[in-house]
Amino acid sequence: MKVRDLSTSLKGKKSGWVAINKKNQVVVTASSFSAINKKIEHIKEEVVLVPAAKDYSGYIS
Amino acid sequence: MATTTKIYPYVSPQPSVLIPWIPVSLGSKKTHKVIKHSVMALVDSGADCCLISEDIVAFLGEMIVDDSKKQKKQLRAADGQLFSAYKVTLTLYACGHNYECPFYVTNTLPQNAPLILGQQGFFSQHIIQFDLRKREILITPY
Repeated sequence: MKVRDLSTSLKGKKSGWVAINKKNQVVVTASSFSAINKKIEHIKEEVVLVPAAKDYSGYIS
Repeated sequence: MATTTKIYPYVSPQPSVLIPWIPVSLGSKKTHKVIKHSVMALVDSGADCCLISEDIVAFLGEMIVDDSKKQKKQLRAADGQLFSAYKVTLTLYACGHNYECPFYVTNTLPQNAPLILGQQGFFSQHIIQFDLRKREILITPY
């Protein structure tokens, strides 16, 4: 299966949340979860909310 | 009951990094608030339970302010650090079905993983196969 590549969309986004559409384009960004939900309240296209971070590598649970 | 396997691609948030993130939604039976769009959640077999950050829980109106009403649990991060979290029950919309799932609320989650689907609550409800070579995650509800 093809990886969902969000690396270009998330580049330079260091914190907060990003709403990304099916074409992997950034629709809106916001600093908090509540703020992004307010911004996408009336958006009709399907988006997914992604946490923005400086670095996604090296995660160990 | 017929069960359907959902197949999700691994997500690459930065070059050379692959994360088993799947889109889910959440709701609260108490406040009737639902997250309208999906949120990326980390499928984490190493987590004992499901974890969620305070800001998502606050959005759903499920924050417990009164300390005496919190069902607290001490958890240990991979670096050995102990942290405290409290339990809330949320409706989890994932993999084509929904159910009431216990989550532990904390403000100590890493920035890149504010929503973690762990053993109790998620793996207990699904058969999960990570196929990194094929770059896919197969999830079948029990």
